Amino acid sequence: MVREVKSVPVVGVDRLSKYLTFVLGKEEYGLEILRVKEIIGLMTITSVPKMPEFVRGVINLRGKVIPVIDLRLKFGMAEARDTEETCIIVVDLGETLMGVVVDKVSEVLDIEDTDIDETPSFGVSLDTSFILGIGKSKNKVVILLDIARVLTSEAAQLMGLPSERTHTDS
Amino acid sequence: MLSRNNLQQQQETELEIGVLASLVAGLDNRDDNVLGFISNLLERLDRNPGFGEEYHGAAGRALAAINDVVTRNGDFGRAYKEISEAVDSIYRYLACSEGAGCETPRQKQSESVTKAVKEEISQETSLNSESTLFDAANRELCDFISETNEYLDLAEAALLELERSPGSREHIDEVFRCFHNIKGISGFLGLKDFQELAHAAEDLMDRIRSGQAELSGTRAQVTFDVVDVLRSMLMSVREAMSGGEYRAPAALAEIMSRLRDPGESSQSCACSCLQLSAPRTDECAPVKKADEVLRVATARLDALIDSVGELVIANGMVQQEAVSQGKENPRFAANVQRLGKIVREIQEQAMGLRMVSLEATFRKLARIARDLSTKSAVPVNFTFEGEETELDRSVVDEMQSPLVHMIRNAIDHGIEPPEERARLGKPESGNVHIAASHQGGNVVIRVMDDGRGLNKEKILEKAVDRGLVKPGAELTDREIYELIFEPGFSTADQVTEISGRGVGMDVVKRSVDRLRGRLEISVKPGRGTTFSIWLPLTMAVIDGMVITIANQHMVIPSIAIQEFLRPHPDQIRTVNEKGEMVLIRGDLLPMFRLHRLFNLSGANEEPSKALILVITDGDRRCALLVDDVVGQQQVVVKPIGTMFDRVPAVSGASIMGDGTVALILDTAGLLRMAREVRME
Repeated sequence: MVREVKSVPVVGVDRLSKYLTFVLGKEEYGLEILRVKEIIGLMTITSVPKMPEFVRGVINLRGKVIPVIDLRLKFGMAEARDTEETCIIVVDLGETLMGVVVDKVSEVLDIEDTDIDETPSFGVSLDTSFILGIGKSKNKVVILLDIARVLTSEAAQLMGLPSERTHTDS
Repeated sequence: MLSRNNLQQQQETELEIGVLASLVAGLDNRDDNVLGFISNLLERLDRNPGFGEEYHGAAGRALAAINDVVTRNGDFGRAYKEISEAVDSIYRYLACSEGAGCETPRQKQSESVTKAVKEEISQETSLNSESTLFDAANRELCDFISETNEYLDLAEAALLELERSPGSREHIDEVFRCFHNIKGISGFLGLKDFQELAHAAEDLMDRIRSGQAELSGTRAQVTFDVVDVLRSMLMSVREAMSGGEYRAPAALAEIMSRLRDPGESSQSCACSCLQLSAPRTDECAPVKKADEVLRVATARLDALIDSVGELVIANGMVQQEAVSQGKENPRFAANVQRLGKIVREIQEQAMGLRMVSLEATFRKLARIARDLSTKSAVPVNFTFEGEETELDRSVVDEMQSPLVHMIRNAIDHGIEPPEERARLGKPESGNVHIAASHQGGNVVIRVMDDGRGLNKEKILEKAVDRGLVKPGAELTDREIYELIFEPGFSTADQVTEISGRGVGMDVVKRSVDRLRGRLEISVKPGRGTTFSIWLPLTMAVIDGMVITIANQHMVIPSIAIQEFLRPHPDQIRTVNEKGEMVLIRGDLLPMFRLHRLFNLSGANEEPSKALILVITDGDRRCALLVDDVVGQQQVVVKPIGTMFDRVPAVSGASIMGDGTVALILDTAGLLRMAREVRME
């Protein structure tokens, strides 16, 4: 079944990688655990004027001021009310740190590369370049994100730069 | 050539040569101990059959001369000459092919320098393949570069002093010493070009100090040129270090011949020279010896300062908590207070680590002013004071270019030619003066000239020409002068090589804005112009006024605030139903509602129940509507990330005592937005 369809190994070669999974709306997403610096509960976010909607603002992370993105709004989903479970995942982008607001953090999953399928194309209307692939673990389907691409292309757009970025690691 | 069968022996010999060279370099006057070492080394090297006849002869003479000095109180100067000769002959021999006694052509020397640099690096790696040693070799060259730069700075400063007070023995000695030391350290590393040039310059200085020649006219210019050529050679070495090729600058051959030319008389130079000015009152103060210093990597320093910044914030949070906790526990309150005091001290000391004085900057400006005045044939007397004033390193770095621009403008556009000045009854030499001082928690740098003064009519004309101002518009004097800060603006009739390309003043304004400072112009038509720059002492911490808008805290730099008041309803006016203005003591200022800018709801919208802050960047002013003012405090500035560069009115962020982030507003940005509203 799965093995007959050519699975493109999207991360490394024959590796087992760990992903942090979280919830946005009805879907489950995942990002590489190596990119995760920490997870913090929602705190007061200072808004910054003249920024796109999905930029919530900035927070104080132990003395560093880092920007926070609302991933729902970034993906064009409907805005949701913050709940007790809403948290901020601090992502390490190499040169900078950035926070992403998610509905709920689920767990850390081990997913083998062979269990990751290529992202089906949904047509031109949906940009799927920042999805690493569709991961399957236990009974769940997890949309694995190339979080660096999600966030840096945004930052690049804001700075007026082309969004091609070379990633230092896979 | 040296026997290469035994690598170790060769290395030892090279080591001995190096030690010999540096001993000789440090030999200022007769020191019997050092002379003993030197003769010991000369003998050992003499035993090496590879060095040839020339060295053998020179070493013999040197040993005899040393013996003469030590036992019979002979002439030290002569011994020194012989020793130098011996060392030079070794180097000549090493650079040459097998015992040919050849004259090393310039190209071969460049090659040998490149080779020396590469060998320096590869020698270390071949001895031990650990990359740390590679870094050590690189570090040695870096040390050489920075040491040489220091000597060049000292020499240049002394040369400038000599122009004021020629014949000053102290300064001549200083210049001699600098070239002498450069010769030594470059010899130690085998950098022949440097060694030869420094040696020739040292010889010239020696002739001058022994009265055989005078430092004046073209000879003075040559010494300055030597400094320049050495500096460009250092840049070449840097390139060689990063894998490029060392290339001796073309000027090197030319200057070597100029130095050797015995036919140099004291003819005055073709162009008008720098006028000697009346000596300053502290002329007779002795040349300051360098203070005891320690080299620390800047990265380490920056890391320390970052940590101190976080300490300050954490302390702030503890202090705030302690207010409530301390009521029940007075001992705790006392301890926290003492802790706070210590933290504040550490903060001050840490901030002080990054402070540098303006001395180097002002000296550089003096050199530029001198060169400019010579080039444009306009005699200028450049003076400075307050050079001991200290500023954060990054502030000083950022101000280098703007200050150079302003000096250029003053000399190129401001100061009139001597005939015109004579006609106007002004002293023949133009005066450009730069003064730095502390004023109320800031540093003020004033650049003044006694030239023509900014020309109001010309500025206005040009502005209308460029479409910056509508013809017939009424502008105050201040506003007209402000126009020179617009990009692309320049009233120079001809674009000279020096300035007049219209990139000067707007760059200055932008730098000052970036540093959160203030720039003011004051003009006395026909009598001169004065620019005043207000700068914060440090970029890491600013004195800020914390305000609230809709329950959110924001910080406005105190330097920008002129006053705040609660307006009366009829002080508020609307213009064309678009802009709001507030009438303050007869002046109408554009009013800006901050809550609208930040899209915050829940703010106090009724001006007469809120507060108005009048902010200024020195010339322009506007009024900001805020909810309330919390208080004035020292605020640690945190970079906010390049993501927010586009946001016009925000320059950074700071962390409040309760841990929340407060945006730091950018006055220049706010004023720009206010002006756009008004100009419509």
